[in-house]
Amino acid sequence: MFNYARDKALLEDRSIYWRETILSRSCLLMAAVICILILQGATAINIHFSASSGGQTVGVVDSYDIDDSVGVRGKASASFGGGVSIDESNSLWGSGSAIINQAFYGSGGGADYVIYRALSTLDASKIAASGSSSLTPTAGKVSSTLSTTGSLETASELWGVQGGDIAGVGSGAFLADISTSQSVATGGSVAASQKMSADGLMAWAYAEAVDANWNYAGTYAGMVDGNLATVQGAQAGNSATAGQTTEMEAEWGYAGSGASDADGNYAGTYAWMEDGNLATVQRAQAGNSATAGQTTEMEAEWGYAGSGASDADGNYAGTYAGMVDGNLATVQGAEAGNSATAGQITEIEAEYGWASSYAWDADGNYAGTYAGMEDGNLATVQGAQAGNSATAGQTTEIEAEWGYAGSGAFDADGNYAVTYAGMVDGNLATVQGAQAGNSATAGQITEIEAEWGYAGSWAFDADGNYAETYAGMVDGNLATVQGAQAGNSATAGQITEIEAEYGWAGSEAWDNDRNYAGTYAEIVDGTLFTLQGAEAEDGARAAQLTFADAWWAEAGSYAEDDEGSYVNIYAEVLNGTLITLQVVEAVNSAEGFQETEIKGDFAYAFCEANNTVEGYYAYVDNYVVVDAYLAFRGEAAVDGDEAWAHQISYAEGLLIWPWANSTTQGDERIEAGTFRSESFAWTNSTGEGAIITEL
Amino acid sequence: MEVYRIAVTGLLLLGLISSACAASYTFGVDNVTDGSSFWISRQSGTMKLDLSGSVEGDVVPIAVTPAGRVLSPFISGFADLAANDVRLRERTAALQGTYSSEGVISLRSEAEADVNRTYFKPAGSEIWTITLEENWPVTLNASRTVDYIGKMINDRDCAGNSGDAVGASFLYNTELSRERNVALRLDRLNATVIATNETILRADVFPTRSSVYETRSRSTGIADLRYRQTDFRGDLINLGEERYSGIYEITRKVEMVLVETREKKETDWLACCVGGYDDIDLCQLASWGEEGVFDR
Repeated sequence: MFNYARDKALLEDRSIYWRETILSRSCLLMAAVICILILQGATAINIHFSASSGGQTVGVVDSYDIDDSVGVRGKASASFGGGVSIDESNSLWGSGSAIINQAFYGSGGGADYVIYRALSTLDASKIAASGSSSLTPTAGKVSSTLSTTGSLETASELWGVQGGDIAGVGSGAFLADISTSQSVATGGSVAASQKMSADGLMAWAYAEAVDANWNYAGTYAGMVDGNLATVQGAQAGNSATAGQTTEMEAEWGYAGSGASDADGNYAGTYAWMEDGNLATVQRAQAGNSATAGQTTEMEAEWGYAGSGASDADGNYAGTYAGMVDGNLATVQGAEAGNSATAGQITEIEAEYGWASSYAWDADGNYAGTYAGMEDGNLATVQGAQAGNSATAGQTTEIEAEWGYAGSGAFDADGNYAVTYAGMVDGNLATVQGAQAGNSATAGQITEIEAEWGYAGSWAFDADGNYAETYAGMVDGNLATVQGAQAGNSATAGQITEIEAEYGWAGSEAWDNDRNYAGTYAEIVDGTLFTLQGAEAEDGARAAQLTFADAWWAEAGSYAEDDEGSYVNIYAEVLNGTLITLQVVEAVNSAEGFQETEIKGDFAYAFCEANNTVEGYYAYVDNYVVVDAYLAFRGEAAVDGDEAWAHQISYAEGLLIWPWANSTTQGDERIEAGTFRSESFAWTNSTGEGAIITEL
Repeated sequence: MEVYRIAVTGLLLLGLISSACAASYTFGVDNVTDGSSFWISRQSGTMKLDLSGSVEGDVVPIAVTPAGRVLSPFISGFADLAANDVRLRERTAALQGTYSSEGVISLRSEAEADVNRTYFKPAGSEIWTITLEENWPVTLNASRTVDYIGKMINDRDCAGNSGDAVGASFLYNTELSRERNVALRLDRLNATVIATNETILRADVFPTRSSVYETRSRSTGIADLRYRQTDFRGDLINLGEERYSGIYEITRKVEMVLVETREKKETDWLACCVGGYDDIDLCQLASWGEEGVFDR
């Protein structure tokens, strides 16, 4: 039986049902139309087409603002079997100006989306474009191609939005011919990709993605005056990812990628160049962590590539390389996420090149490493890390007219450590490191074959103590293992081997009370092997164990206390060998020791003490000439009360001439053949003396 | 026979609706330059409805309480049917008397075929041709008889098919004997919009349709007969309305048909190749197209 109330309600339900459908569709349509309205021209034709079934809707809105000289063809087909869907295609051809905006949407299936396509070109002599789309209520796929010749300006962009995920690609050109192929797909995630190439004054391309959790990834490329070809992609969906393959040949070019995750981690990588080529494979990723990458190849007048990462905790790490007038090949990386990491594998063959990495943690610790060269090659493996501590590293190989490499660490407490190496006209190979964090440490293993080379390390602690070690040579080889450390104490040391026309190595330390201790060795035309160290903390100490085989060699150690009193330990050989162990120390007083063996045309060793405040002096030596052999053991010490020196030696030679001196007195012997002796020299408040005794 | 009795025998629904699936589409063209626009929106479904029935009885007062409360006798009924752009409306109300009626309704509707939209603007021309093709057929056949003698009966109906409509109203009749047959068919719809960048020049809608309405009656009150017919642009081209007050026997048959022939005029290929392209009528470009001639 007819029931008016019931049937009326049924009819109203039906109305409500359709009203809801229309409302949902209207929301999407509104979003699409807003896009269209914002970007459409003043004389646009808008064509709307939508289809609904079972509460689900798909639709497309086309907006055309085109010259009469431009032709357009479009076709869309809505299907209703097996769910509503639209398949659409369009093409555009001719010349002139055109602005095309399209919005594609789907709704009612639980995964509403909008895809937006925008093409524009101004005064093109030839335009060819096509597009196609396949739309369902929950997924859409849109493809777009555009090619223009002789245009003033052209741009093509394609974006997709679904469930808070956004991904898009875009490319454009100014006074350049461009060809681009783009696509966007929604459904589960939003992915966009493009392949583009351009030739002209200016061109650019990008791919970006942002997911619903605000993870972001993007990649970009641009050029001025040349060619650009790149394949790019971006995807969003619980994470954001971007990638890029780039090829350039332009006056100026740039390619970069960046990622930032929802937690505040960021990673980026970039490369740019001037006057040449650039080929890059890049990547960026975000999502609880941020990652960047890069494979770079450049051949340019000037080029630069870098990567950086900063995590949410404030740790930062970066690495970069550059060159002038040559090639640059780099594999880089950056990572962030409670820690920050950077890396680099570098190869440079240029007029001038450099590579560097650094890390800065949230606590204020810093570590960095760098290398550079002029007129040659540079190959480097570098690293940087931050996160409660900061670390840097480097493996370097340089073959150049001039090259250098260094590493440094600076901790939050004010401790500082540095290591460095350099050379002129030759090769430099070094493994370096730096570390900071309550202490600062730096070290290196270096090999140099050059016209001139040097390597050094030093440390400065927060209390004002300082230690340094260094080595150098002219026209030869230098191999050294060095280290420096600071932190309540300052320490530096080295193991060095030098084979050169001229070479030297030294270590020294100052404490914060102005006590000083240093040790050094030097050769001319020969070989020097030395193990050295210096340390400062409540005093200064230095020591060396040195072997020299050279035309001329010397080894000495010196300690001076805060009042200027000092001890001096010294050994020398001419055209022979020298082996010496020396130790000096200054702690409000000074003392030194040596045990030395010398064989050569000339041998000389002494120990000296001098209280410069009181005028107390003591000195003992042995001096051997022609077919000389000297085994010398001596000590010297000075404090506020006394200066004294002592030696025991055995000597062979044509002339053996030992001395002993106090402040005003002296003793000497002149012997030949062999002579074994002991000497004393002293000065104090009660008197002085200088005695040589034959043993 | 009970004194107060509503005798409702037979009737009611013997209908079957199967495979109902609502579908709709919207097609529109906006010209931003001058604000002119054309929109069309249609809704249909794949469905089937068969209804047949008869009723015969006396419309008399009936007591509804033991105390003798009497309910005034009447009958009323209505039917609203709509699928795509085919519509049928019926209204009947009668007071005390003798009433008999038979009716059959058959509705077939399909909304499965693709709906296609195209647009085309040749290079070198400012003319846009935007088309829509839909093929969602609807067939509605309905026949009905009414015989009444009594205090008063009103009986109205109206059948519509897109812009066409035909119907009759019999009001204030004490005696009415009527037979009516309706056959509505909607085959497909084609819409074409011709526009430039400045304005929409023309918008044609071609719903291919046929409507047949046939009635024979003897009435004793007021009889209104109406029909209207529109062309492919929706403009009213035929309209008729008649009123008869008194006792009449009326026989009427209305048949309205609109067929979209989709006439294709092919361009003489020599015109473009020998005489050049400029002398080709722009209206004919849709079938040839500049791209088709030169660019392929």
